Amino acid sequence: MSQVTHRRTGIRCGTGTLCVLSWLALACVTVAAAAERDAGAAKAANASAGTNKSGAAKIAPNKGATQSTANKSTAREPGGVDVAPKPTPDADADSLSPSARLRDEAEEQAGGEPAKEEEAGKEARTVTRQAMLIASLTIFVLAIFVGFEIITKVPPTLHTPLMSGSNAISGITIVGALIVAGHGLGVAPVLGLLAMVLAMVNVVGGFLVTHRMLAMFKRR
Amino acid sequence: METASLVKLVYLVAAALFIFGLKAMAHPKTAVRGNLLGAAGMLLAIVVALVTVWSEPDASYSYIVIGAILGTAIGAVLAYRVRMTDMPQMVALFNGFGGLASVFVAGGALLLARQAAKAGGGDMSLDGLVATAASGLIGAVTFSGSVVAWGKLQEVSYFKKPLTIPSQQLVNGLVGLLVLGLCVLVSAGYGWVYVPLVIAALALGVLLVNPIGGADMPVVIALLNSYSGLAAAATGFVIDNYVLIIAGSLVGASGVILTNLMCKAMNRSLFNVLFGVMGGSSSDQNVDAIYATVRATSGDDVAMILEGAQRVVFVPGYGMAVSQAQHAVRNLAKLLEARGTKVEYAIHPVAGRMPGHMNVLLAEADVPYDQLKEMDEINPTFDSVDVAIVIGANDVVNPLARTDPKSPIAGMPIIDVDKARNVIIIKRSLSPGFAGIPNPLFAADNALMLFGDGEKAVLEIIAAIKLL
Repeated sequence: MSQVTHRRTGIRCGTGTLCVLSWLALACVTVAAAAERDAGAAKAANASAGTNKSGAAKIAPNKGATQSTANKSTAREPGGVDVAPKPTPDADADSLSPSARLRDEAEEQAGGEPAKEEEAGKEARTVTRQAMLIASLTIFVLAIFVGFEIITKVPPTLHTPLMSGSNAISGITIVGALIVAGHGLGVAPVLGLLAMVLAMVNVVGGFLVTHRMLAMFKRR
Repeated sequence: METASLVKLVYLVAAALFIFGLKAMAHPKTAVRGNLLGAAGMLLAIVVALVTVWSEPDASYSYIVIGAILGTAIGAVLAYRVRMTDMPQMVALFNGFGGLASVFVAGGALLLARQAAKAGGGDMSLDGLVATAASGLIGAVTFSGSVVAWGKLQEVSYFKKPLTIPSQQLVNGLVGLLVLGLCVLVSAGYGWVYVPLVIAALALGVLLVNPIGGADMPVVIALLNSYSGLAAAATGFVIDNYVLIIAGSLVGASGVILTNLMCKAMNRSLFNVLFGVMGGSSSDQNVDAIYATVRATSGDDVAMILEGAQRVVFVPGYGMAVSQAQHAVRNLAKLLEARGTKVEYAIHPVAGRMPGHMNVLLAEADVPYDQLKEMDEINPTFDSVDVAIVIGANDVVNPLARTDPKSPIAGMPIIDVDKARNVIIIKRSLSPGFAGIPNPLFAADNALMLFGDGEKAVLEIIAAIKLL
């Protein structure tokens, strides 16, 4: 891999590092933008704005681990699709939120403590959300470094199985497909079905083909 | 322990299995196990994802089951029916499927977020939107690019001639800008823009891969491989899934490394491969002059040259794949070995249509992998090679790479067959290779051309040796 080594510090800068740096830069911009937006939203205490992160109706559950007590939603575990992302029960739980929010708005109009609590809650959620994002980014960067270290040790003889094997691993999208396809209603699960088929072909075909190839490499 | 934490831990185990699996790819002995580890990791991740779905009240399994069965059937059939020769296009196709899957997952996630938003919850966050846009963009480009790559390698007639688009680069640039603009719109919250974004990205994929020629496909496939990994990682950011991020990064890194290796092996920058035009600048007068001293030979002559040879090196190229000559080559090698000759294979990094393509073909023919030598390893020893047999390779043995700084392959490391005592070149004709330039090796004093189809020519030699 093309690299330049700085004599004294031994810092190596090559294509890989540049890729990582550019992704990092992109990510920092995103985090900063997200943070600003959240801060703005929190300040405006505008619960009806679509950017209400606390609602977190995205497939991932609430990033904000602790919600302000005013919202009375169950504190959810941050991160990971693992925590049952439930759009419908989400609607239930978050229908608490709209009513809670209406209450908040009323309280805000009344001014005073609850509004501040709400704001503090939002800011807490913002901070947690940022922390989550940074955690994800950290993992991303580390994984890339691990990838580089491992892959450079694979000899050219095995490059074709490596490509088909890593291709099969990129079928990990199937996890996302499973989750999208597993939701009951509407167009989304159909997209999930399509994704399932494609990802399954990628995974099954990929691992089988790699196995076929590797089985052929014999020593004398 | 809460299900949530348990699930995350199991995802971590799956990721670890992927890492160990890829690590085991470092040696043919452990590689099979490595692949199984990777498969185990995938299975684990799938099971865990199912648990996640199961824990939701509105879970529906019908789509999952249908999708799984269909996908498995298609994948298995394709995997077992494909010929080793066609492996590059199959990898490209699978790759494309993975990219398209990412597009659908991100789109589905966006839809679900919008649905939940309408039901009163909050909408997707900014970083979620950015990741969705990225996922859609990268996935779509990967898909259409891979399909075009598949078409070119499969030599599907529609893809054979690159569509000539006026001011190709300008169009590419405009579409690229359009795509970026649409990304920004999606990130700004205009979810429906996702659809035109995907369409534009599909077009971009086609535009980018379309002008690239068949022999540069190794680079393209490696690059698309890395893109599908990045698409998976982006989807991981969308749905906050660590195993997606980790696995995606591993694959992305793998693709980037291979792409880099390929480019170095051709001594061309990635930019040049993707956007450059092959300077097939051969003035026709020179061709005849160069080829004036070409000498043709026959199977019998070659057999006589091979008799008593101590060291023989085969140099395979794409032509061997096309004529499926690897089995014949192996038989010839066994014959020679039975007579006391040492046989080796010199594999150039970009021989064939995919990194490691030649190795796989020869392995399929039961060639022991320790006879497959990398270019850097075997090049210095060519002085002591009695006979070098070049089968189906052209540009990778062209001395012009060393001598002519203006040639399109200038500076590309080649296999030094011209340093061997005798060189036999098996080729159908004197037609140029992908680089479109003549090869002075053919006319060298120590070189003989054996014209004919790869497999037939080798069989001729085998028959002749048996008669000796």
